[in-house]
Amino acid sequence: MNILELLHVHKSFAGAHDVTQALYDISFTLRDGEFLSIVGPSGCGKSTILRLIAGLIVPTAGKLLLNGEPITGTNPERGMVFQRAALFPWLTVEQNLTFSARMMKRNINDKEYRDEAERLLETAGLKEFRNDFPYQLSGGMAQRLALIRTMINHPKVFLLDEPLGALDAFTRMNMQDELLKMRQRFNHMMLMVTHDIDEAIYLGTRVIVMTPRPGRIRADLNINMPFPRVRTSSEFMQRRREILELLDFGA
Amino acid sequence: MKDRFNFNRDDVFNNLTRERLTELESVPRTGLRLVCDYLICLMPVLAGCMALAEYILIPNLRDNTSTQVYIYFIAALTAAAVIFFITAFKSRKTFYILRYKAPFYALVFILLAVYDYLTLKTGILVLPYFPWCDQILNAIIDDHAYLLDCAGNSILLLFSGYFYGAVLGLITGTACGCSRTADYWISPFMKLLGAIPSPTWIPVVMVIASSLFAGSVFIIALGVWYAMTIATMTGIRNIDRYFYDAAKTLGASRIQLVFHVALPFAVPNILQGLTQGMSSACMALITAEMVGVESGLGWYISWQKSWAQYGKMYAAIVLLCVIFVSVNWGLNRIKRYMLRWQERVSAFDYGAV
Repeated sequence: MNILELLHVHKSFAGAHDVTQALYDISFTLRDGEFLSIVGPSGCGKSTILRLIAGLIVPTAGKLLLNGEPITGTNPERGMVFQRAALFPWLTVEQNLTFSARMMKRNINDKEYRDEAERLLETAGLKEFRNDFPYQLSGGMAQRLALIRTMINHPKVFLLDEPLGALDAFTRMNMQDELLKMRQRFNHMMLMVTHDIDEAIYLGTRVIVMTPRPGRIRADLNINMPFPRVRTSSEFMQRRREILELLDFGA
Repeated sequence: MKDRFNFNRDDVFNNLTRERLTELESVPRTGLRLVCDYLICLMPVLAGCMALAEYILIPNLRDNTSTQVYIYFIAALTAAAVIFFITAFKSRKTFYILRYKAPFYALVFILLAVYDYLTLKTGILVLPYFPWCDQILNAIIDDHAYLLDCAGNSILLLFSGYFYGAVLGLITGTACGCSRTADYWISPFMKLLGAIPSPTWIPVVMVIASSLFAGSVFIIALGVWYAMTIATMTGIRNIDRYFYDAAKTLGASRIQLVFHVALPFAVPNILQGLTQGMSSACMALITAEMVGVESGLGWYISWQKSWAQYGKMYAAIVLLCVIFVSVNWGLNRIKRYMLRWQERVSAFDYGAV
């Protein structure tokens, strides 16, 4: 059982003339199987939380612990998918997928690894495109590749920084279902930043609502609806209204 | 041939080649247009025959002399054009290549004929400054052993300097792009050295260097080094933060970030630097050979000029052109292969003039 803890985390950034406070006293605990959606207006430090957990930046104050150990630096056990697919344009689809294994000097011809790579290519519908370069992929395909490129490491913590933000509505809904399937299969913890409240409720077992300047947690809500969720159900609508009110967009 | 434009579905969607696709999507070429296309493909052959006729039929001016060599030369080129034309009937791809290139090839033959007319036949362009092609060809044949020797020396010098400069430039460029400390110590020297054209150093280097060869290598390498350092550094600095973030979360170490992210990303710039470096290397080579080194084509040119042997001078110039053009061609091939991951967009495809 993996457990991720954020204890009174503060983060400030130095600008050209002044220092801005991005996060103010952020604390929460997350366990395996949980899907945490973080919503809030832009500039509220949602992405900063993910970047802290990924180890890309260090907190100004406070602690981040994974299974009791402090988080230092990046590690594939904390995988992250970015808003822009960030595929390496000079590598083919397959080389992008196996990039991580090559960095960690893992044998990519190992039977078990090969099978997993094949299976992921299959589920992402990229099998026939394995030798294509990223510029030849559609937006949805590129984002699916970014997802499976992180997934292949079986990360303990899966960080999603608005990964579906740039997709059209239909691709987006399909990808949301893909994410749910993934969660069922691996049962790891997932954190997703989004500014789409529907998406947050549709996927999350928990939703954190944030307010900006400085970014702080306004509310931490449990969503106890069974999957798959119906976007038009009255309960869904009610949760939606609740979150909108927390963000001061209520009627 | 006749049913080329009548197709059945399966045929079209199963074995679709690039040429066939273009064919299907463009206005059908039928009747007169098709005849025109083949006529255009035949143009180099016709132009070749015209050049031959011009040389053989028109009498030379007064005591201008000419040999058979030019006839063999033009005949060989014309024969190549004929073979090209015949293969165009067999292969679709060749047809489109020839259809595209033919007008230019024809122009080359016409230019040769015009030049020959202006020099050998009429003397409008006078000797010794404008020798006719036949004289240049004869000069190449007469002096071929020595010319080849000189060409060999030039190529050796060029590539020695180019190689050292490129490798060093790649290293310093990567260091400056990736490390703040390296940038701090190296950049000021680069700004100083880069501002001065490399041939400026010739007088100093020729005195200090242990041999003329080593000195020239240094001069050539200096220009290449500068171009490569700037290009590599720019390439690495332009990289998007996202790539580093993604690579780091996928487990790349700091060294791996350099070799698996920064450098591959900078490849387009590096290749640009290689091309630029080549042109500066060629310039430095010729300058070095004309000023100091006593071998090579550059030296041959200034030596023959001092004896007013313009035919031989042009022979060396022609050889230089051949060398530089083939080196650039090779570089372009490498570029195309290395950059196959980039989407190639041409303004021509969108109807731009």
